Amino acid sequence: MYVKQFEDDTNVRCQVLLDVSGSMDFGAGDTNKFAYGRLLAAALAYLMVRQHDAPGLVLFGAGGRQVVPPVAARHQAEEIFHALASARPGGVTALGPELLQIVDTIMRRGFAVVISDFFSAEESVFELLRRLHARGQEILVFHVLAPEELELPYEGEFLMEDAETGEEIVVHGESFREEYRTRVEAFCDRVRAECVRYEVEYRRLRTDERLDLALMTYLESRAAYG
Amino acid sequence: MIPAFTNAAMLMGLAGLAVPVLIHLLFRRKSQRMRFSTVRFFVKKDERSHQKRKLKNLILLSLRLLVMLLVVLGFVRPYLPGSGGESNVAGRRHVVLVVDTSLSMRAETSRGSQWARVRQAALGMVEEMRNEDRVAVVVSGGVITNLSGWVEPRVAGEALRTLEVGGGRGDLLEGVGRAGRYFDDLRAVGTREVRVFSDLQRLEPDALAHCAIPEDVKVSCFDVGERFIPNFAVSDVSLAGEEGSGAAVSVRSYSDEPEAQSTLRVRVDGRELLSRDVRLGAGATSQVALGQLPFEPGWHSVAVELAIRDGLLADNTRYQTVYRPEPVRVWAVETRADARVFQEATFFLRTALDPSVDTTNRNTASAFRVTKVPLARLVGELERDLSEVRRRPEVLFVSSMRDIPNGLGAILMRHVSEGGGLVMFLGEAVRSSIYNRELGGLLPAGIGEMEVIAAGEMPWRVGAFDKRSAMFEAFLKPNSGDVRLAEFYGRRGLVTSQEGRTVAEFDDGAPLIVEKSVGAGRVVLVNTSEDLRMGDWPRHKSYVPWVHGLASGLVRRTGEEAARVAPGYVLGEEIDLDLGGRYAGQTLRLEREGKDGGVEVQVASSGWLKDLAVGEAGSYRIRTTKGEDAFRFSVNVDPNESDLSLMSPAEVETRLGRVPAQVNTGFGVWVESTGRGQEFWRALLWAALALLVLEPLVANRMTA
Repeated sequence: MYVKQFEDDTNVRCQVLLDVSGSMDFGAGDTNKFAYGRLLAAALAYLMVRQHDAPGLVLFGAGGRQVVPPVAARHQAEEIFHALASARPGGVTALGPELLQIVDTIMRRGFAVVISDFFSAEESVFELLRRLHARGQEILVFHVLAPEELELPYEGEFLMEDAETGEEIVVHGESFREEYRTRVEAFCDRVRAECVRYEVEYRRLRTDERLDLALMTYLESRAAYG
Repeated sequence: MIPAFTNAAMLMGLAGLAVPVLIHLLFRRKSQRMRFSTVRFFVKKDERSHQKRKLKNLILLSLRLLVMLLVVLGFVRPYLPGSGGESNVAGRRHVVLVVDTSLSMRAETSRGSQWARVRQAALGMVEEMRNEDRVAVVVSGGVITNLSGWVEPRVAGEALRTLEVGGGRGDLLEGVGRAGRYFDDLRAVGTREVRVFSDLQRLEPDALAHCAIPEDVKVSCFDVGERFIPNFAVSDVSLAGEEGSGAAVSVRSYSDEPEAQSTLRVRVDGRELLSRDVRLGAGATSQVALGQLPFEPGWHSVAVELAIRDGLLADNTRYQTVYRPEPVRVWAVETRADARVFQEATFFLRTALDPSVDTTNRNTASAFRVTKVPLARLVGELERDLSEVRRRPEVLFVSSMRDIPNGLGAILMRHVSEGGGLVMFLGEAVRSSIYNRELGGLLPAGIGEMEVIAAGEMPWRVGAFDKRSAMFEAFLKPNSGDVRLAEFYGRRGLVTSQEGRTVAEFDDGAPLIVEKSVGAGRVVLVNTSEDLRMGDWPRHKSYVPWVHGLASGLVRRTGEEAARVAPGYVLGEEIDLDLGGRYAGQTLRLEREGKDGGVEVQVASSGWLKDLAVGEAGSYRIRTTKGEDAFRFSVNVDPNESDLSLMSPAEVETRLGRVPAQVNTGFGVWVESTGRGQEFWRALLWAALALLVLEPLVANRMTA
């Protein structure tokens, strides 16, 4: 009897789920949430390929589609880059049957990275997290928010138009700022609490922050996953 | 009323209203459209604040527009021509006529009646005034009244023609003061005058200084010409003087004649009762004693008239009404039938109750009608008269009896039980055993043996006594006599019964006077003789008031029956009478004594007869529908009106107190009277200033 010893790198299936709803298309220039999320998704895909993982890309918003299935291949990153380049934000965030079907077809344990602002019907996003958790996925959430969304720095009166629904409402910046910040913080706390509930690693990202913080978080989580 | 404008050209300034509108439009924060990731955090709350901001902006815009409008209107200087009911006509006169209708205006002078001349002068002045002038009339005589507000001279003239001289007291100060107040609220321009039509009776030197007439009001007085009018007056009539004193009259001379002679006539119920010649020294007051006037029981009207021709006839007669109650019917039971008058047992009692008793000149003013009844006839007369309400005795004084006639105890018991009073004396003749047996049920004490002061011992005197008792009430007054000075040499041993009450004691504590209630009446037992045999009390000053109090206290009369002198009123003043519940709600008749006719008056349910108006001095009677006298009262002229020494117009005008003219005080801060009318630019600018203060408050305080 002999023992055969060999080393093999495990190819972890990593799903990157990027929110492409209309609300992600907010933020001027480099602080645009969609651009920031897309760049983050690309960077993560690159890292995953370099780590011999099998990255996949799911874009969700008004619907959901697996634009790049998770495959461990050298050109996988380019596939994802290409898909990201052609992605356009729009529509409302809704956890449709397409997305749920994608999640429900995940058979193996793996890694799921959700990049979103979570400005949707909250319960539907939390349902996404619950299903991913139920499929045995190690989940990492990047809660992407533009600085304007966190601080409401505007002066004067504005007619705000909802990027997803088109709903309009008059807002007076100075007078409502404090209340607005309180409400946003309460919303973030709620998202964080749901993440804790489903054992999800939560990281809030401002789009004026560098990506290295997010990538460090991913690498730490990936290392812990083994 | 449509306002006119002083600077109408300044209305162009209204274009300035565009400034706030432009500011509002230019600085309005336009709502910039912005696409935002989500509006979920803005929902609801900011909608409300947006509405509030819109409202605030509208309020601010309105305030600014209003400020601008008020400022422009302030500079335009609008005015109301002829506003406040008083058109502002240049040169208009506002004159308040103070017309004296007091009694002194009835005085006759060498030039004729004061009143006729004064009224004619007032009418003459009014007729000379222009139609656009305004006149107010204040009447000073009795109650000061504002005869009219500001009216045309023609209207004031009509009011003056109907005005008659009264009989009340004039009050020049109050009249002029009232006239001055007419100008307090007058914003109109023109001359302001107070014109006094009065005889200007002399006042205290400093009195005029207390008047407060604005300096811009011209005050002038009509000159009656005379400065002094000789006059005489009956200034006071006293029918109910001090106890024992008779009626008296005060006659006052307001003349400079060294000595005037006249006759004073007293009429009672229209008939001349007596007359007195009086000498009247210059400026002196003469007291004329009339003695006791013989009034029969009932109401009487008294008029005292001074027969003399002088300046003012109205004050030569003074009136008074008096009610003489029915005298108390007292029977004095005499036990010494054949004795001389002064030796009779009841001599002192009868004389004390009515000094004129047994004389041919009976004093009708006495409060007691004393009848001497021999003991032998007492039972028979009591049996006869006890059933007669107007004849039955109210009080019985029974002197010491040796024997008690048959049936006396029973008839006395009936007398007392039915409300009569009984006074019994215990002289030497009294046999205690018979008294105790025959009168035991009546007596407040059991009667014992005779006690006599031993030789060489001090006589007994009055010790403690009940000062609240009616028989000793008179001694509550100072100098009313000392009952303790009386000495007693004999008495009976008394044992006060359970129902009895000791009213007075000897100085050793033995009972002197004991009383007891029996049925509706009372019995008083006096432990001494009714004469001088057992004591000297009848010789002392305190005896008469004690006997009077004793008799009066045993009689129970209502307040109406006890009334003596009816109230007197001053002509011109309001008269309120309390007739009591007896006439509540009844319709009575008010008549003046000696005059036919009369008016019906209604007594209120409270028994009051209020606001009686009488136009003449005199005695007045209020009668029931059956013609019975319910009440009488007298109305006399005010004695102050009798002094006809008068001031000159210059004296009044210079001594009159003045106050600074009121300029723009009160409402004048806001409105200014000018020759054109009432300008209110001040009010507009004040309002603009107030809004300017309000504007930043609204801008900063209202939350966005």
